[in-house]
Amino acid sequence: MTTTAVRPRVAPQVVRGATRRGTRRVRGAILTLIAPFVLLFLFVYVTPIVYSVVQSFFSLQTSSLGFGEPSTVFVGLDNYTKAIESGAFWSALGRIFAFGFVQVPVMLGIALGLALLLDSAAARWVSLYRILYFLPYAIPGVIAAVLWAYLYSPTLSPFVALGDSLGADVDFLGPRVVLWSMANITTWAFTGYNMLIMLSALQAIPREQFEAARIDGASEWRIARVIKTPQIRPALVLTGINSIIGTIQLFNEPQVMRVISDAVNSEYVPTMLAMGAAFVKNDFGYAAAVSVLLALVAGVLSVLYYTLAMRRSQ
Amino acid sequence: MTATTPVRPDATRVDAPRERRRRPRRDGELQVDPRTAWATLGVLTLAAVYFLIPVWWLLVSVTKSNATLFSTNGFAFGDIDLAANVTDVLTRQDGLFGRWLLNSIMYAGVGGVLATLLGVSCGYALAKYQFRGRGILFGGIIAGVLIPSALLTVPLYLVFAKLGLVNTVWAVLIPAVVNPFAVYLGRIYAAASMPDELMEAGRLDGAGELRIYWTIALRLMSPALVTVLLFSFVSIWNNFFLPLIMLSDQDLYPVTLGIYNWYTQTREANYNVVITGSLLSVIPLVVAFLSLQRFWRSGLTAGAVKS
Amino acid sequence: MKTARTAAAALAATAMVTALGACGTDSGGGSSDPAGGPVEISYTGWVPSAEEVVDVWNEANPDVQVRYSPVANGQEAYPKIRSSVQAGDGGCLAQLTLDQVSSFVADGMLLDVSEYVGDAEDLFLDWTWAQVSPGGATYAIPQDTGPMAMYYRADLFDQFGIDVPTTWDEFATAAETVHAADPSKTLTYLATDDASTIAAYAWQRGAQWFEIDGEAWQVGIDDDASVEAAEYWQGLLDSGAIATTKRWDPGFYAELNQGTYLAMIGGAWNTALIEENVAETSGSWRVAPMPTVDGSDATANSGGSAVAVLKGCENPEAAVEFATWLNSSDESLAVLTAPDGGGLYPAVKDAPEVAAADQELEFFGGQDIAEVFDASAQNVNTDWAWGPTYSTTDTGLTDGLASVATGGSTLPDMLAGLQETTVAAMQDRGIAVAD
Repeated sequence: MTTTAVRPRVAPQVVRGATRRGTRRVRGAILTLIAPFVLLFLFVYVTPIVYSVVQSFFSLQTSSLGFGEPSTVFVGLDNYTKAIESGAFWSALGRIFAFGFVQVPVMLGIALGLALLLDSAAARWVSLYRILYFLPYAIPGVIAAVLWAYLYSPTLSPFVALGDSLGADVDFLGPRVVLWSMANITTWAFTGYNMLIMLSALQAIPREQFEAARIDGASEWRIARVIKTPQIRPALVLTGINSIIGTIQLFNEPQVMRVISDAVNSEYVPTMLAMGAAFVKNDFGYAAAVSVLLALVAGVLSVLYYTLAMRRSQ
Repeated sequence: MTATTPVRPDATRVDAPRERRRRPRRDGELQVDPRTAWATLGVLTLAAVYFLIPVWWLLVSVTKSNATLFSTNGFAFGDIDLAANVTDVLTRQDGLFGRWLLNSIMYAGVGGVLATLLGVSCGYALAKYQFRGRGILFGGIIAGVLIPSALLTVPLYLVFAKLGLVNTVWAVLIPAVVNPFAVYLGRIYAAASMPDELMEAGRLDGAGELRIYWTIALRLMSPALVTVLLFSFVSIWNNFFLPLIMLSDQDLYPVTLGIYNWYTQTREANYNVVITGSLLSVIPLVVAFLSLQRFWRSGLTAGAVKS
Repeated sequence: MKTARTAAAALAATAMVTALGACGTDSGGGSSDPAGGPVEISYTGWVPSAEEVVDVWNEANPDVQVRYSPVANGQEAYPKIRSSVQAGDGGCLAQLTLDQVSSFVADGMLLDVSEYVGDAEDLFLDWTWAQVSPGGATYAIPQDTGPMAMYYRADLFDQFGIDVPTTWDEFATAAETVHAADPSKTLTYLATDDASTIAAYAWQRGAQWFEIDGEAWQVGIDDDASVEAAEYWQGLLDSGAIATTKRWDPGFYAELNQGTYLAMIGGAWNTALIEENVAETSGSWRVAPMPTVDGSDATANSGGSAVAVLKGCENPEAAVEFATWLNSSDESLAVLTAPDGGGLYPAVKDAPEVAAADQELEFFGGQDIAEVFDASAQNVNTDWAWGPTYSTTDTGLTDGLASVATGGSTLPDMLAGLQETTVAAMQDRGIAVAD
C-alpha cells in the first residue's frame, strides 16, 4: 500500500512548549491523532485517483467475433482522445456548464437576498423563516428529486393539472425545459442552506458599523449593498465553491428525471456518462479517463473561482 | 403530521437569548417604515411558500391511494388511506423498508461518529502542533474538500472491487468515515476553543499530549463535536451515488437507495409506496434538524467566517 | 487511567486499519459451504412468482438451496450484475434478456457451462438455444420468448368504429381514423424506453441486425428492412396518428386505464402486466395477431429471457440443473406461465402445450389468447442474432428513441447513427466487422 510512504513525512518537529525529553512522546501523540485519518484519506482519495489514472491508459480488447476471453491492453491516450472527440462528452459538459452559469448565480442571489432581508431591521419572525427555508436541506437529494419528478410528471403533477384547467400546456420535461426543471430542484434544496451560511456571516458583523452609516443617512438598501455584502465575501466564496462542486457532480436529478423524461438520455451529465461507460459498456478505461478529465476541470474551476473572488476583494 | 411541525418552541428558545445579546432589539432602536416592513414580510412569505409547496404536497399525498392520487387535486386532501399506505411500505418485500432505515441509521451513525473522531483528532493536531508536513497535509485535505467526491466513486469502485469490498457494508462505511470537511471544522474549533495555556497547564501537571486531548480538549470542543457529527451524519444519510455504485444486495441498501429502487420499479403503479416511504424516511432527519438547529448554525458560521 | 485511555485510542485506530486489512483479503461472497453442507445458489431476476417456484425447488432439493433476490428490471439490474461480477461477487444465476447474452459473454461476465448442460438443448427452441450459445459455447438456459401480438380494447374499437387491422397498412388507416375522431387518444404508442419493440418491427420485416459472416460480423441496423420499419413508424409519428410514451413509467398504466391508447403491440409477457395494472378495464381487452406486412405471415419477438450462469459461480453444475428445471419442468412452468403467475411464454419446444393450459381469461372476455401467441411463435424469423456489443447499442437505441420523441432526430436517421456507433464500438474492441 502507498499509505506507509507517508510516515516519515509526518515525523513531528515539536515547537511549542515541549521539552526535548518529551519530544518523542509528543511525536507519538501527533501520529496517533493524525494517522487514522491520513491513512484512510490516502486509501479513499489518493488510491482511486492514482488507480484511475493508470486505468485510463488501458482498454479491454477481444478479437475475431468477440466471444474469446477479453484482455486488457495498454492503449496510451486513446481513451482521452475518444472522450475529447466524442460529442456525448462535450454535451454532458456543456449541460453542467449551462446549469452552473445560470443556477448557481440565481440560487446564491436568492439566498443572499433572503439573508439580507432576514438580517434587515424590517424583518420579523426571523427564526421561523430561517427554519422554513432550511427545511428542504433535510430531505436527501435523491428523495427531493423523486418528489419533484412527481410534481413534474404529466400524469400526476398538480401544476400540469392546474395549467390544463387554465388552458395552458405546461410541460416540465421537454428538451428545452428539463434542465431548468432540474435547476429548480437544486435551487429548492440548497437555497436555504446557503442562505443560512450567509446569514450566519451577516450576524457576525459588528452592529456599530450600521449605526454609524444610518446616522450618516445611508438607506438600508445601501447598507446592505455597501457594508454588509462585501464583509461576507468569505461566505459567498464558500457557497460559490460548494455550488460549483455540486454542479460538477450533478447526478440525482438527471438520474431520476430520466425515468419520466425523453429529454434526458443515459449520458446527460458527466457522472452518468462515466457510470454508463463502466457498468453498461464495460469500458472502465474510458470511465476512468472521463473521471480524470472532470477532476481536472473541477480543479481548474475551483482555483479560478477562488482566485477571482479573492482578487476582487483586495 | 406532528413530526414536521416547523417550530419546536424549545429549540428556538435555545438560541434566542444569544441573538438578543448580539443585536439590539430592533423596535426600540430603529423606526422601520411600515410599508418596508410589509414588503419585507411579503417577500419572505412568498419564499416560504415556494419552499413549502412540495412539503405540503407530500403531506397531502401520503394520505392518498394510487387511484386517489390521479383523481384528486394534488394540494387538497381526498379519501384518507394513510394507514394503508404506511402498512404497505412497512410490509413490502418482507419489511425491507425497516431494514433500509436501520442500515441508514447504521451507516450514518457509525460512519458519522468515526468521521467526527478521526476528523476532529486530525484537525486538532493541525491546529495545535507544528510538525513537518503539516502544510502539505492541510493542503491535501483542502483539495479533498474541493474534489467532487462523485468523480472518485467509479475509480473507488474499481479499487474496492480488487479488494473484494464491493457489495459489503465497508464499501459505504469506509468512504463515509473520511470526511475532509470534518478536519477543516475540527481545526477551526480547536484553534478557537483550546487555549495554549491550558495545554501548558496540563503538561505541567504531567499529563501526556493524548490525555490532554482526551480529557480537556474534547470536552471543551464538545459542542463543536456535535456540529461536526451532525454534518457528517447528514452527508452520509443523504449520499446516494456511492451506495448506488457499490451495493447490489438489497439487504445492504440505505433508505435513499431503497426508495430510488422502488421509484424505478416498473411492474406496477406504486406511487403511494414511494411517496409514503419518502416521508417516513425523512422524518428522523427533519426532527434532528429542528432540534439541533443551534449546532447547525454554529458549524455554518465557522465554515463561512473563517474560510 | 491515563495509559488506559491512550491505549484505547491507539487500539481504536489500529483496529480500524486492521479491520480494513482483514476485509481486503476476504474475497466477499463465497457461496458454498466447504464443510459439505447444502450448496447455495443465488439467483436474481424479475419474473413475477419466481419466488414461489424457488420454494418448490428448495423443498424438493435440500442439497441445493436457491436464494432468490428479485430486482426491478433489466435496466436497473444489469449494471448491478456487471459490477458484482467484476468484483468477483456476482453469485450464480441471473436473468438476462436474450439480447444481452452476447454482450455479457463478450465482456467476460458469463461462464461457459457447455459441459454441464447435457441434452438440455433438446428441450428448448433451437433459435433460443442459439442465442444463449454465442460463438458455439453455452452460457445460459433459455427461459421465455416474447412472441408478439396486439392487445386491444374491444370496447374502444367499437366506439371508434374500427375493425381489427391485420396488416400495417390497415393499421395506419385505423390510426388516422382514431386520431381524427379524438386527438386526445391514439391507436397505439411508440415506447421510447423499450428498445426491443423497434428492433422487433425491423425483425418482422426480415432485417438482420447482426450476422456472422465467416470470421467477421455483418452489421445491418440500417438495412433496407429496418429502414422500412423506421419510415413506417416515423410516418405515423409525423402525422400525429400515434404518440410516444414511456412504457416503463408506471404512469403508463394510468394512461392505459384512461383509454389513451386503444391497443398495445407487445410480447406475450405483457399479459400479466396489464392484467395486474389495469384491472379496472377487465373484460374489454382482446388479443389479435400482430399486424403483418402485406403478403407475409412473419411476426416478431420482443424480449424474452434466459437464466445465465455468472462468472465466479462456484457450483455451475447445480446451477445449470436448477435453471434447466426452472425453465422446462412441468411443475415450474405451471406457475411461470400462468397468467396470474409469471405470465411467461416459455422457451421450450412444446410451448404450445404448456402455455395453452387454462388460458381462457375473464380479463380477455373469455378469449383463448394462447392460440394467438402460439401462432405468432410459429412465425418468428429464427435467424435473428444479437451482437457482442449489443448492451451499448441497446442504450444507444433507447437514447435515440428519446431523441426522436423530442424531435431531435427521426427513426431512420437514428438507425443510421446507431449503425455507425455500433460498428465503431465493435472495432474499438478489436472485433472483426465485415464491410
